[in-house]
Amino acid sequence: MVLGLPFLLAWIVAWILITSVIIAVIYMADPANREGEP
Amino acid sequence: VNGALPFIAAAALLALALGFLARRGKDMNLEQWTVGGRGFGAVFVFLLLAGEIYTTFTFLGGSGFAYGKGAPAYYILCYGTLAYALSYFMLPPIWRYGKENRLYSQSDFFVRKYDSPALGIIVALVDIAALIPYLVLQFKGLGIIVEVAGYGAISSTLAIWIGAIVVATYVMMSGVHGSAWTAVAKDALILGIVIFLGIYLPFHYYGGLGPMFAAIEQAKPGFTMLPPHGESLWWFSSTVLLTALGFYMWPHTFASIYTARSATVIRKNAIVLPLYQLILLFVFFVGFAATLQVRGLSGPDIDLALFKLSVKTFDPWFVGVIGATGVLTALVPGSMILITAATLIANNLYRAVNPAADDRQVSRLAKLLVPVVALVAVFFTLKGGETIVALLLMGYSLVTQLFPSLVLSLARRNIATREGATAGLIAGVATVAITNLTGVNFHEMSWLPPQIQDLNIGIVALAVNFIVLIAVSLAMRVTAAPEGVAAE
Repeated sequence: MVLGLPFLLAWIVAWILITSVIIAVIYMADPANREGEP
Repeated sequence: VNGALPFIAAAALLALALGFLARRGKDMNLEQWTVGGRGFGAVFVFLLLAGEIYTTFTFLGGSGFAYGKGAPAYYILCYGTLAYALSYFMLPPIWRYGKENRLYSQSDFFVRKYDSPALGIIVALVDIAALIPYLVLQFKGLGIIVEVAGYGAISSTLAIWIGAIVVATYVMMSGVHGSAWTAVAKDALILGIVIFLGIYLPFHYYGGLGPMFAAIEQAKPGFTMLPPHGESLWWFSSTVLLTALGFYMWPHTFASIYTARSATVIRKNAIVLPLYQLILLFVFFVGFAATLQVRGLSGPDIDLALFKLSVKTFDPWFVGVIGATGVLTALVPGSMILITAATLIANNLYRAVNPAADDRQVSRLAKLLVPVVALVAVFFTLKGGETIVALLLMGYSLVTQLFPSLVLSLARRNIATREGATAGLIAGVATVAITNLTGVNFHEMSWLPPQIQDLNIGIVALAVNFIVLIAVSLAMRVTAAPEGVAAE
């Protein structure tokens, strides 16, 4: 158990959070979002 | 009249009122009606995409799956996350192509990319075959919710009729604008209700999440872990992969990509949607809380877990609020499916055989088809039995077959030819039909290693599809090579 959750569920939740962070980093680094592209 | 009914009635009236209001100030031509004039910002696109995730299937099915099967339910959290990560890269090119070519439907996309009206018709037929059972599922869920949450005052049959009339009316009035506004109300409600239930019920019955899982582990050892056989890690991974690939292939989800104002809107959503998915975690908590509190639901009845526990725990008025939320979770996806199915029939079947039809005629026909499609779905809902879940899974396997030719068409140089894409799609769909109708699965092949036996049979259809696609495309390129070189 991790934070009251079964291990597998905690593992999945952790990776959902990490996924979101990774996509956010990609978004910020992506030139397509900077040029005010339509 | 009991305390729950006014709230459920209010949800239906709210959906109708929002449908009428959403129409204001807009000329409801085909582009406004189907794809919102391609002018939706991040919030609306977010709600449309999210609206299609939190359907009655997740509300009832997600909690029911956790209640009845435990850990295998986690797969619902995984495939969405994978699909969203994929969407960051896959959807912007689809959106751009849709805007440049003024596309309305998924079938339009294939017609243009492969320059093949015939492929467009096949895609439209596959789409419709997959959409109808999905709509049936929403209506069926709606009937269950109103009957249980209304303490039996309204029969599920009556509820299904009323729900179908409400959704068909507001869809005819305001199209996807109505869906978006109803989605606002729905998401506000579901966010509040599900988080509350997911925290309150474990604390009320067990004194917290940790104690709840500990109690479940004691009563049913291994329930919160994947079983070694059957719905094992192998089943889990293969099912997550298949459903993640199929996720954006649902024609109504695909069409909501076109509603975006810009590609950036879509990329922003790829960051937020995985987090928003975590609401499902609370849905699972409700299901787990019910495992030791509501005994004896089995088979298709596991879907009742959330409402049975709510009726046991709360006053009727609050059960009514939960019921109202449930009604909206059926109406929003229901409306998207109706718009998409009607557009496909009018724009991709009718117009294909009658190319002289102009946008105005197609638009009018699409709106007239809305009540027809709704009636067909009501018919199957009232007639069908438990086979609906099987039909839904078949729908998922059907739309997943569109993935190979779609994703290849996004490449700068598409290796798939028109004939290859068509042959692959037909081969994949035929394999889905055969495996579903005969009920064959890997478990019958006892000579296979146990890991392989647990794999989702849908992998076979996708593999057949891909192999046929590549083989036919290569064959066409070789035979067409002498003149093909000059053409490129």
